[in-house]
Amino acid sequence: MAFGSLPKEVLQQIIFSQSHSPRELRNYSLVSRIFSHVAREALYKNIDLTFDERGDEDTDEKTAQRQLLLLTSIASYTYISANVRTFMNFRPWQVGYMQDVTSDTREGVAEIVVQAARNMIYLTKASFVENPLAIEVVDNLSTYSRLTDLTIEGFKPEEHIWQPNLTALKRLHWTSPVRNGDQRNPPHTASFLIKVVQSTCPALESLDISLLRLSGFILERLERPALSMAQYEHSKISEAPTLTNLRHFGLTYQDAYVAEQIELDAMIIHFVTKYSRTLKSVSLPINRGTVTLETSNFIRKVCAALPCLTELSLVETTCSRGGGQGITGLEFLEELTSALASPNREIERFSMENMKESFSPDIGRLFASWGSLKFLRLGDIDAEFGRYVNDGRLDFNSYAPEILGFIIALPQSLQELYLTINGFDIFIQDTDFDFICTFAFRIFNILVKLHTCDIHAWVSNMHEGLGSIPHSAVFYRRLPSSTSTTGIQSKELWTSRMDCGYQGSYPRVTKWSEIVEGDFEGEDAEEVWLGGYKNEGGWQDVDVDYSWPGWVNKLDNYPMFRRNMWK
Amino acid sequence: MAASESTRITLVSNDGAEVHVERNVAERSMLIKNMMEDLGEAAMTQSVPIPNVNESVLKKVIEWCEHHKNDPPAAADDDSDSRKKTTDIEEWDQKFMQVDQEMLFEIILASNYLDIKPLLDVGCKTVANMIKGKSPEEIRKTFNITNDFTPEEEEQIRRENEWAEDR
Repeated sequence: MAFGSLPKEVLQQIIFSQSHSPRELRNYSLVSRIFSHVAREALYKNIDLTFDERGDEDTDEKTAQRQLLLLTSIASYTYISANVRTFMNFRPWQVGYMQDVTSDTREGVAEIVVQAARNMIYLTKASFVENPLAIEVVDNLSTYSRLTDLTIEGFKPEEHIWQPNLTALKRLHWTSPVRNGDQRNPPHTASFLIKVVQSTCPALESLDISLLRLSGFILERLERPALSMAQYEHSKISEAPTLTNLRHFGLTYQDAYVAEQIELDAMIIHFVTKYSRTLKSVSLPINRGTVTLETSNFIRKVCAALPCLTELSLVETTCSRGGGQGITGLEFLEELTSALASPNREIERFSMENMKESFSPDIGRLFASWGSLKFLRLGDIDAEFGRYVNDGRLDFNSYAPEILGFIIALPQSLQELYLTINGFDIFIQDTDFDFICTFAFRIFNILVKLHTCDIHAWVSNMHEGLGSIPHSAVFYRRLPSSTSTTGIQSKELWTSRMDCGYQGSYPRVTKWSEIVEGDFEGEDAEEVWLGGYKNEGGWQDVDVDYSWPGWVNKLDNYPMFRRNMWK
Repeated sequence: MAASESTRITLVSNDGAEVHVERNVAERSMLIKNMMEDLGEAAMTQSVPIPNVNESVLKKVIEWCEHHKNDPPAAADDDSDSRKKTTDIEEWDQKFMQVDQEMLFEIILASNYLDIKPLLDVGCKTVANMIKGKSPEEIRKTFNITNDFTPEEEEQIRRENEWAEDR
């Protein structure tokens, strides 16, 4: 029995059973014909052109060359492009946007980019900002018969949209810019996109529309009219639901005029009412400042229209809804948790970036009535307006016990918890965070299904202000213990702690674990935070090639850090 | 008759050897599990032929199934991208896989045929760890693979994948 006797599907499994760098896959492609075939599948299956800021011209030049070579191969050989399943030149959680080869304006590059787009006919998932490749795909979406997941940011559907033919889309997230002086205002954009998907996306399961002023990056505008837009203008949409598989709907907006906000809210109510039988999840905008009674009523009205709702996400934006009667975060949460309490309702996932209150046992107890809650992501009131600031410094000695009290008052069903401490104009010192990093034993013993708990402190320091990652954070993970004794359940509780010290320098990440016994239930976490990442506070690998592909800033790309504040 | 004996079944390898095994152990194989369900009561009295696996490999596979008989069932989702990609292999499995290359490939083939995904995964990861970080020549040497490219083909592949080279 020799290696060469293994069937191709087993060789595929060998290659796909673990992560290999592009360099390794390139090596495998040179071993033999069968190796080459399988390595090529792996090498071109997922194309991710995103990269992280390195501040190094040589590295940038190397990256540009490599990306152009890659797209040239995809554009030149259909046996290569046929392997591409996912294409990404934008990460939704990324801070800013690094211009990649798809936006390269050098002579001849646009033709290569467009040809690459035409060749990738088996795409299943794509994430784009505006560039010739994205536009080619979007304009001709129905020809990508396997493309089910599409994320777009940075251009409007009125600028580039597909022809009114049926598409395979199941998930669409479109972040459309709000531009000053644009005649097509946010309600027009939302209304148009809703019309388009109802006409062309019968398999759609998830639709997110975000209408935001984008400040993270500015791309040169590609002045091309949306050729297909006029074809939708006279199409009529049935009042009966046409998206029979729709499970999630999100419509969030920022910087819209009050009249536009009222129009958008009415659009949300109309849409969720139309799809009330199938929708289980919604994302709604909530004002960054004071919550009003009108906002509270609006959110509860949406929830009331959705009897099967299990997931609610409140996205912080600037949407005052014209003012109104201000209420406290506590009042808002009392109303909301009461309206969605078990057993009549079964909320499993809830997110709110700023609940306008500090964490406290009283707030935790409000959620105790959500007996199905599995996932909670919650941020507190900006510390400047909270109770725990002393001379511009967050008083963790007083606040930490309240945070612990909040956690242990949460429902027993909880599996994942992500807390954000918002303190944009205050500071802490590293030792202030020590107590927060001692919670593992208590929280996992009380919340027996909890396996993941993060606490991120987005606070400033005396020198640099906010950075792209939290100043301090702790990441608790419950993992199986390898030393379990028969009849006694034990778990290994991992604590990873991150301290930036001075924002901008590389943070210090340490980790430790303890074995504990208890009556634990349910699944454990998959791994220690970031796969057990550690750093002593310096640039670790001075000899590493930081050019694309291969190097990823793991910390900046942790998807559970809040991002919305930059948009 | 003891309860465990009452649930024993007999597998017959392709070289005619009978291997007696507890049913729940054998049913780590989805192929055998489906066969048992199809056979119903008759499965308890008839031998189950395993035509693609010889005695020594079958016993080795059963040894693995015995050790892992209480593991939770594998997730139904078989998408290679969604499964966790890791080089980690638990200690017992690492020792289990310390066999010569021929037996290693036989175990992989048998687990593929018998549809025992976790064992196939361990086998594939073991081989993946053996090739990881090696040059094309080193991989050929490790597994005695012949370079079947023409010089022109090799050059073409180098050109196509130039973007992935070290610079």
